[in-house]
Amino acid sequence: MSATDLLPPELQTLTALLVGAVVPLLIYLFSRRAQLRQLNASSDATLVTSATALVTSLQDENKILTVRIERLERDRTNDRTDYAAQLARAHNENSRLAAQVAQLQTDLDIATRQIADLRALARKTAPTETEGIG
Amino acid sequence: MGCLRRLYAALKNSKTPVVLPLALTGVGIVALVLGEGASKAFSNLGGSTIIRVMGVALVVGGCLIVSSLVKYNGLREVTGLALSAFGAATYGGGVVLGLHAQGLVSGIGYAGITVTLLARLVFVVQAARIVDRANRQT
Repeated sequence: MSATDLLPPELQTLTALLVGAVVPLLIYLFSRRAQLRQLNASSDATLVTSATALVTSLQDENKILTVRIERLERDRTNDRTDYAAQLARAHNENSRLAAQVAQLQTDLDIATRQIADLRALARKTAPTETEGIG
Repeated sequence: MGCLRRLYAALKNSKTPVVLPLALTGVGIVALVLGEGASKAFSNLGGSTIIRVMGVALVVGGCLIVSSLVKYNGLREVTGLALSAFGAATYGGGVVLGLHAQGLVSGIGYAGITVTLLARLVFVVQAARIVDRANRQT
């Protein structure tokens, strides 16, 4: 069996062209096998149908993410208003306590002065009492 | 049973990528069994080897595609598409070379089949790239 029996001359160019096209194509596809493998997980069991299906699935994912982001933002604004209210309440409490402290301070001053006065009075009256006894 | 159900589900989703490889598998089996006798063009040229090579490419490609329909595998489908496209292009080219003007009807038809298979291949590769990019972003 000669080479022309295997491959007639009319078909040689065609075969060379096609083999020359399909071998690099297969090499290219195998170099992308990591990307192609990711397709297996995303399309469960059935084949990837069309560009629109792919876009729809991506849009669905996008929608889910948008909803999640919106919820997080709402939570954050709620938290912020909560904190602001809490801070204002703490502030009020603080000033109220400061006023109370000032009040108590004056009360204390008055009491101290009264004690001092009473002591002075006691010192003034005590000797006459002892004279009376003695 | 599960295999058939999955094939049916794939067929319901999209017709061309399911029916075309199955039909080409049939063509490949005929070409493998009959050899030169399957085609006037190839018997005119004496290309019994090349028609068997074509038959092997079509059968292997078709089997790869059908197995990837049952349980999806991107690389397997894309390899099968490349092999089927190779087989279809071989037949289309051979029929035109062997029968000249009389082979144009078949030749153009098989050129169309080749283009369809290659378009599907390009689509799957692009889809893989998009999914890869999306996965990398999240």
